[in-house]
Order: sequence, then C-alpha cells, then structure tokens
Amino acid sequence: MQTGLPDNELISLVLKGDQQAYKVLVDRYQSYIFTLAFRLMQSREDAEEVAQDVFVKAYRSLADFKGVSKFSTWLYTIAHNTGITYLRKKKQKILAIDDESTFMQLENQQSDFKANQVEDKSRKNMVNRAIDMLPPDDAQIITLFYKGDQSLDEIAAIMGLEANTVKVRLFRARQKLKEKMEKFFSEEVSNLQNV
Amino acid sequence: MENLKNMEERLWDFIDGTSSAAEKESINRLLETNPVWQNAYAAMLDMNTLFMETNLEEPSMRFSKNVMEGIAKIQIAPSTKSYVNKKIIYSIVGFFLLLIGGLLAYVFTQIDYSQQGSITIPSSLPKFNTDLSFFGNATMLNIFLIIDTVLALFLIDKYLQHKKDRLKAKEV
Repeated sequence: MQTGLPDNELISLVLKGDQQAYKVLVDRYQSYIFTLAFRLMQSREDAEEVAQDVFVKAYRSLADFKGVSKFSTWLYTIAHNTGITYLRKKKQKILAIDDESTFMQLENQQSDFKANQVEDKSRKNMVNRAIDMLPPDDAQIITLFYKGDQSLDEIAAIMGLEANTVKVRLFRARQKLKEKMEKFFSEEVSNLQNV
Repeated sequence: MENLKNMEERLWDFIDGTSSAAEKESINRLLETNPVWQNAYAAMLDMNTLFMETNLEEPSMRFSKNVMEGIAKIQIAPSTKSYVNKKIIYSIVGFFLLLIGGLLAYVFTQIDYSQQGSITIPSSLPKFNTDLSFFGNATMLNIFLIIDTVLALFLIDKYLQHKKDRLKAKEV
C-alpha cells in the first residue's frame, strides 16, 4: 500500500513511528546502495555489510534529513562516506585497476570468460564487467550519473568535490570505460557496432 | 588529438544537456554538415545508451530483513540542532548583554548632567591595574587570546560531543 508513496511522505511516516514505511525505502534503494558499495569494495560480502550499515545510519539520522536535497542524494552521501570509512578501517588499498599485473590478471579472467560458452555475453553484462575494471571513484561516478539519477551538482555534493571536477572525472571515466570495452570486449563491441 | 578530445568533450556536454544554447546551436550545425562529427556523435550516443542499460547489483535476499532487524533495536536520534544546548547559547548571550549593559550604565552614571548645553562624557573607561608586561607586546597578547578562544571552542565541542554520545548510548 505504501510502496507507491514518494520518499518524503514515507519519511514523514517513519518519523511518526511507522517502521514498516522504512522497509519501503530500503526496498526502493537497496540495489542502488549495494551497487555503490560494491563498486567501492569490490567484494559482495563487504558491500552487503556496508550497505546495511548505510540504511541503519540513515534511519538513526532520519530526523536530520530536511528535504533540501533529494532523499537519494542524502542516502548516497551516507553510502559514499560509510564506504570510504570502512575501507580506511580495513586499511584496504583502493585498487586502481590500471597497473599492469592487474591487467594481466583480468586478461586471464577474460580468456576464461571467452572459453566459457555458458557465460552471458549480453551488452549489459559486458558494460558491467568493464565498470568493475574501473578505479572505484570512476565506477562510482558512472553509477551515480547513469543509474543513480544524480546530476553533476548532486554527485559533487555526494563525493565532496567541485561540480567542475566531477564533470572532468566523468569525462575521463567514460574514456577509460570505452578503452576497457575496446581492449577486453573488442569482439562484443564490434558485434554491437554491426547491429 | 587535442581536437578529438575537444570534440568529444563538447559532444558529451551536448548529450548530457549541459551545453549552453549557443553551443547547442553550433553543434547542431556541425552535426548537419560535418561527417566526422556525425560519426563521433553516433558512436557516443550508442555508448551512452549502453551505459544507461547497465544492471544494478542485487544484494542477498535477506538484505531488507537484516536492515529491519538492525533498526528494530535503535531509535531515530533527535535532530542535530537539538543537541546544541540552548542554555549554553543563552548564557553566552546573557554574558555579553550584561557586559554591554554594565559598560553603558557606567558611562551614563559618569555623565555630568548639571552642565547645560553640552554633555561631558568621561574621557576614559575604568582602568584596570593589570600587569600585562608578561605578554611582552600586543602581538603576544593577541596570540594568547586566539589560543584561549580556540581552546574554549574545543572544550565546548568536546562537551557537546560527549553529551551526543551519551544520548546515542542510551538509545542503543
């Protein structure tokens, strides 16, 4: 019944004590938050832990959401900060996939992938795999822009950057994504161009 | 190479809808006449569609249940605004009002109202016999005051943070 309600109305219900209204918000945004966390963590287990933490934190601080920004922007900001803090705590390096050894690893993975006829070779899968190869920050910008429905200004607020910096980073991220797709999925890209 | 980068940048702005009206018009003209621009635009438009078609990752089936179990144990914290103790703000305001009021009262009691036509205002404010030679000079005194202010702000912040943590601990 509440599933069709806009975010702000659901938030009002939650603030009045209706916890079930929060479940609707969780169901609505869980994939987005999980994807953002996954792009940063590059591990499903860590991403799941971070994403859960994001929703618990957001619930606790819900009274601070004043509706100045979109709820999604507010939630993504919590996700970004929680992810960064989690990585710092784990002292895990944010791996940029640009180094040669990782490229080799990926190339091997790619040959396995080609050898496996059962593997899904759809367009979506190809792009998702290419996004996974990007450095986490670039992958996050691409995800926020294309899937998170966030403007450059909103992404800037989420990531604590200038809008102009985000614009430049988005441009570079697209370039890198294009390069990865041409390098690792050349066959699929050419098939795509022939369609 | 630079031209290609520039063209791509301009085309991405055009696709994202962030170009100015004049720029849009200029690109539209190029797209009508220039085959290099037409090809690049078609390829980038394809790429853009492809990026939009990407899938989101899905968490485990138990995800929302886990979250709901997690929030069942906690309560929504009061808005951050309410963490700031109004008594502190009122005390600070009160102190300054008292200081200004005291000074004004002193000045007005020193005025000689018996003289007609002119009001004599005391030439100087009360002098405190405080030995400031310890500070050496005015710069030292200023530095000392700045350090004091920063320390005071730090202590107030620590106090508020401590209260906030205690509130949170109570909720859990």
